[in-house]
Amino acid sequence: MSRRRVIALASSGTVWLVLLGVWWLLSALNTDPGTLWPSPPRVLSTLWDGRSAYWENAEATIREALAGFLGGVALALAVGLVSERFRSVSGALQRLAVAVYSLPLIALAPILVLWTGTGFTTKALIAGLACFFPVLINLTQALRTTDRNALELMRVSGASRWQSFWRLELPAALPSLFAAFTVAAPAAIVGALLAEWVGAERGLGIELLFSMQNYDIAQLDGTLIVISALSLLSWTFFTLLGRRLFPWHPSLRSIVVVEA
Amino acid sequence: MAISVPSRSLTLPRPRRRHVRSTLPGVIAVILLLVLWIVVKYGGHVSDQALPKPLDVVHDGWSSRSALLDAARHTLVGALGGFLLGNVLAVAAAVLIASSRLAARLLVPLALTASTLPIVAIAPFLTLLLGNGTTTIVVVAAIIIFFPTMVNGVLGLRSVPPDALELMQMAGASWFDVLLRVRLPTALPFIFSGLQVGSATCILGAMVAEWVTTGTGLGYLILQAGVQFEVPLMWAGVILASVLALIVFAITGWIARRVIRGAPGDAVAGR
Repeated sequence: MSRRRVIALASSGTVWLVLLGVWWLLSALNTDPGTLWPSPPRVLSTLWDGRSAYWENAEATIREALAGFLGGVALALAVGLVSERFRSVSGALQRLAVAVYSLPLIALAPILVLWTGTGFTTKALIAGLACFFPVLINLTQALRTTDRNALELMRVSGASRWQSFWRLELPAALPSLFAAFTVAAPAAIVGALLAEWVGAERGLGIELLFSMQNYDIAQLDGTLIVISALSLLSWTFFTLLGRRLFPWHPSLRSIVVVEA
Repeated sequence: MAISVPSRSLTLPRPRRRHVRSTLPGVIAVILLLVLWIVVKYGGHVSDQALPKPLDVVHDGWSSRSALLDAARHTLVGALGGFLLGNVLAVAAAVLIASSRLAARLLVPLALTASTLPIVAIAPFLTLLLGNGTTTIVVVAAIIIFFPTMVNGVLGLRSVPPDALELMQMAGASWFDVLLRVRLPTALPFIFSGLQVGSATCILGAMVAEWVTTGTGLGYLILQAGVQFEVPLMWAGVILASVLALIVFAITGWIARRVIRGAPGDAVAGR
């Protein structure tokens, strides 16, 4: 491990420790029963005591988010790849996708609830919608910005449209696709959480809402910790996988590295 | 890109055609959706609860127009307040990070981690902390826009050509002059490329926060209409929210295109 990396880790670790210290200090200053700042150990013990309930809720949310992620990504790949075959459509499609992405898709949740009930399907659909657009936008963008010279070279050497797609355009788009996954995976979790707010029996989203309404701050904090951990985990997974698969790609240089 | 600028100003019809080309797919999509709605509704004999008649939506929307507009106003105030607050803080943070190595080491990892967390999930906590008012809505919307603007801002502030900095230094410019005349102008295109998508997420954030917090605004109206099975009103709310988001999207896009002028990078996907 290089010296620079040690410094980076130490400094970000310090920041997190300071934040933890501030939280602890706040909880020490506000000890009345209705406090908004239960101490870290109390939240941890709440987490531990309620671990089976947390796990049950987390499992429901994970399943919704995962189903949505897989479905949304598959659909985005299909739409992106098909539209790529028709060049004139793909430009229009991309502009359209960016515009539709700006719509508050979560507002569709009540409509979907009327169509498919408050069950698993609605949640997976909303999670899928939340990750469909980032993947589609990044994919069409990447496919459209394939290196012109390389494309020319493929054509000159007699490659068919299909060959140049499989051998050049798709591999060149993969890093952007993985970058999109790092956005889409946490988005799927958010989609599942919000869908649960409209109505659900289990899930971290509904637990969040219940603990707010019951003014159970320790449970609320515990739920937030679980949600954040899941979100970070999904992001880290695709970031590390992307770094491992395409270490050469500029999109993976973080702004920390640029600075140092 | 630099070459296309003079030609564009010489041949007048060109921007207009571009304009048509960029709005045409949207118009076609809206018409297709409307046709699809009518075909499914009358061809498939779908119940009014699953899919209301388009005219019912117009009718109910018009008769509750004051409620709809009031809700839209609440949402817009929250979203716009958050947009302004979040962007001002984000640019300030970006300046701090770009000008101090220590600040970069401390704040960037924190910001990167925080930006992957589901921000809307902290709305319940913020509600308890800040109360059931507009403040909570504004803060949620501000947090949502903060991270994309900050990251793009840092990238932009750092991408100033060294020659320009050297020139300013030789001319005896102060740190503030350099910031105002070189660094910020360079950073603006970067910031705006993220703002186009970000501005719409402010509306989303405000709507979602309203679900759990104030009980006002479009988000709550849609949810409430759905719960009470006032289906046409719910659809009117969804359509109004979509139109608002598209207007905000179009306005920021228009400004962004004027600011960017061929700078690299289109709107990047990211919430």
